[in-house]
Amino acid sequence: MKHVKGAATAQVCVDYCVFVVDDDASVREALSSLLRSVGLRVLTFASAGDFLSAQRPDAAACLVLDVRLPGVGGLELQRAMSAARDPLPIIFITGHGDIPMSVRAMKAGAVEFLTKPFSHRDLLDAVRHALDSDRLARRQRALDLEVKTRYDSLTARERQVLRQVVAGKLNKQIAATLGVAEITIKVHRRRVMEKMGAPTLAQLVRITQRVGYTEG
Amino acid sequence: MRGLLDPVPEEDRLTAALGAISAPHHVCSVCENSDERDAIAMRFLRVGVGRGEKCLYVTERERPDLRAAMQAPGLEVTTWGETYLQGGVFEPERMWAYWAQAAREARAQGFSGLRCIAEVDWVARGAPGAARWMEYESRLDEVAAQAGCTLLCQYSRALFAPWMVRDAIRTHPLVIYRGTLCGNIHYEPPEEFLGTDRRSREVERLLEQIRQHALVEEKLRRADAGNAIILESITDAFTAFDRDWRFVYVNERAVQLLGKPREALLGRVVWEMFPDGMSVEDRQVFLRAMADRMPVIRDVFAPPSGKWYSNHVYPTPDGLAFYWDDVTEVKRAQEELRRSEAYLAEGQKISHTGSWAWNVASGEIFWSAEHFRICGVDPRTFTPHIESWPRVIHPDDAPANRGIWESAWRGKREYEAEFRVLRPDGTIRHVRSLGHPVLDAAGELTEYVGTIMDITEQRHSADRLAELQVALLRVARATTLGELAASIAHELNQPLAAIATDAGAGESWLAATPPNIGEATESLGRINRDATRAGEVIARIRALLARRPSQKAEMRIEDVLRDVCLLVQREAEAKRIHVQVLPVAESLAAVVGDRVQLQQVLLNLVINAFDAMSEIETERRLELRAERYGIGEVLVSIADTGAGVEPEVASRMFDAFFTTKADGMGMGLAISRSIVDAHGGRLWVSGNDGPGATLRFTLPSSQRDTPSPDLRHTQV
Repeated sequence: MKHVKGAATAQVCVDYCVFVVDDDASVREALSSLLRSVGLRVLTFASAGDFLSAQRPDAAACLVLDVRLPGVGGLELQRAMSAARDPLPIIFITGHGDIPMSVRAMKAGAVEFLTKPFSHRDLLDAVRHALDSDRLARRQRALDLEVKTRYDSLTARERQVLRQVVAGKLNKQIAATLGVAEITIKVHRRRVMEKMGAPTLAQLVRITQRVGYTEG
Repeated sequence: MRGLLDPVPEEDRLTAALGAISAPHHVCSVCENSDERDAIAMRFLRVGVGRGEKCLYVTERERPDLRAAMQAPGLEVTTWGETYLQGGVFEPERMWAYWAQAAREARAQGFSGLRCIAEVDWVARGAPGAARWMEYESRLDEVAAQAGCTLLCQYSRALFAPWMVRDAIRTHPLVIYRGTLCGNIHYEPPEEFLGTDRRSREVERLLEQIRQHALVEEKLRRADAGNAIILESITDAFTAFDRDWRFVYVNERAVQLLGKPREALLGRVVWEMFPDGMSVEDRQVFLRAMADRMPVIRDVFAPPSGKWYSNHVYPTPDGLAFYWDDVTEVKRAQEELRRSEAYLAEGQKISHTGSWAWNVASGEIFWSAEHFRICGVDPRTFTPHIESWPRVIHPDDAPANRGIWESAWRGKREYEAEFRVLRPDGTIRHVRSLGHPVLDAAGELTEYVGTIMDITEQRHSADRLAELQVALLRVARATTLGELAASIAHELNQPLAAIATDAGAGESWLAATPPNIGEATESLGRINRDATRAGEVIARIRALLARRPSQKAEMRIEDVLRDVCLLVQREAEAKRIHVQVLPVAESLAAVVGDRVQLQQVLLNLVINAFDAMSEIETERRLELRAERYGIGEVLVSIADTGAGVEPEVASRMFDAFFTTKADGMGMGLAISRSIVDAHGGRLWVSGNDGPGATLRFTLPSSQRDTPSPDLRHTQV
């Protein structure tokens, strides 16, 4: 896992991991082999319980989940993860599936619903798609986290100045509004630009708008 | 009772009275005419003949008619001229001597005595010597006694003057008058009749007669009282009525039962006293008995008291005599018995159980009515006996039953056997017979008592139940097979999925740069292993299926419909669904198929229909129908009033794993269709005009019932 703390262009490392939950050992081994053959890291589990209690690597990941499992079933596991706000994309595989079952699974956020025996290409496409979406989602989450951290480092006066700046006010106007000298505003403005990691005003506005702190 | 109370015919009474007095005696008869005179003479003679006496008849001239009529051995008829008037004049002394001589001669001839009947009309006519006649008569009593001779002197009233008849009465101790032999209270002994002090003697005699009469009356009263005591002492009630139905006599018991004092009853008319005492019909019977003078025995119910009275009624000269008593308890007991017998008979009928008893000594067998009914024989024509009863047993069962029977009675043990009864009409009943030996004090077998139960229906329903249970088991197994198929599909899917995935993996390893031969080889190894595993699954299915090969047979589809209805009956009731098998034409051809598989198809379709109706609030009705369809096919329809089928569902509903049910597997219709297909038929669905849907399938009918080739040819 590679974290680049404080880097202006925070880049999540391209590290992928696929979790496979299926009670059938043959299916687990075959899926593991297939996914490893395209360079993916694979962690396999025989039951929903094993998966839930395992430590997950911090990587873009997805879950290949059998619907029919002993104990906690696939759809039940999906419900539990959804309740825990776990955003991990899920690809369902099932021996037999009917329309209501697949509709229920897809509505609950499944990426794909594959009926065994499936084409290995379909599975790989689904996994790639899931990993991409998870990677993007993770990057968004990382960016959001970084902006929030930078914003949190601003002083109260700097936040007041930031709000005026992104609202398009001139330094003179801001100085009049806050009742301080224009030169003081210029200093604050430079400090805000530095702390927020925005080299230009346009970038500052985009970062601030994206995380919605303008009204802050 | 009748002999004593009925009036005895006059002639018999006289004969009896004459027979009751011993010889010798002297009697006169006072007759109104010659018929009466001869009738008396005949009876008088008959008694004498009966006693072995010599009989002599003295008359004016010879009477052959009399001799013929009497036919009495030793009867001698003689005339006045040879006796009373011998020599032309009557002399008493000569006649007295004559009687003594005649009696002696009769005894000498071997007779027990002499009996003589004499017509004495000549006296009235005033023949010579007649003046001494009454003197003669007066002394004759004594003479007859000494001579041992019985004499009857016959007086015609029409000929004799009253004073002469009076003297005849005075001179005979016995008088026959109007058919009655009377002890003569007016008789005067000769000393008085002939004596000079006649008056004083007469007074003495009269006084003595008065006294005697009083004594006799007292004796009679005492005898009456004795009779009354008898009537009072009998336990029956006794009531005598005159011809107008007035109470003449009421004994104590009758007073008690009538509930009124004797004084209130005597002289009153019974029907006025007790107007509601008995039914009109009963009263008519007694009124007729009075009118016809006929005895009657009749039990009568008395509404006011609620009691039953038994009446024995006899006519008496003056009315009717009732002997009666309260028989309410007896009646009640009889009624009770009759009712319990009726209940028993009814109970036997309801329970199809007859009873029997065998008298070991006589061989006789008693059968109850139900026993006869079970055996189908008529009690009027069939008499059960130890020899005859085995004839009702089916010939195939008879030897075995005889063995059981004989070993039971030889060992004095309980008898228990089941056998078939072959009725004369050819029908067969299954029966169970139980018998219990009855032993006397010495331990000897006297009797067997037992029951026979018709268990035909039980047997049939037990057979049917057993058949159904087997059928149910087979259906259950077949249903399990369906579920198993689904489970097998899953088991097959797993290795297939693994194989497909591993194939992809192997391809992928080999396509890498450089190709990863090791991983690819492992993938191939796993493919090999999973293919083997899939093969094993298939082998297991084969083994399972091999255990139950499809068994094709001819059957009536209606029977299969009814089997399935029976299986779902309980569920239908629980779900308030009216299931009906519409009448199937008798002519409908049989179908050829595997009964269990067809049951499974029907069961699937019926259960589906039940589910389709589970949400319906209006009528829930399921109709099963079977009919001819085209040539050589039978069409079965299952019509429900359920939710119906949407067109897009209709096109997919027979696919495997297609289901609209939350808990369904989507196998039922797929399996059903494959079974129907395998039978050479088709299965499809269509909507109804009304609510619901109809599932239909066809089956080929048996060759036998298809139209003949000729007919088929013309139809083509």
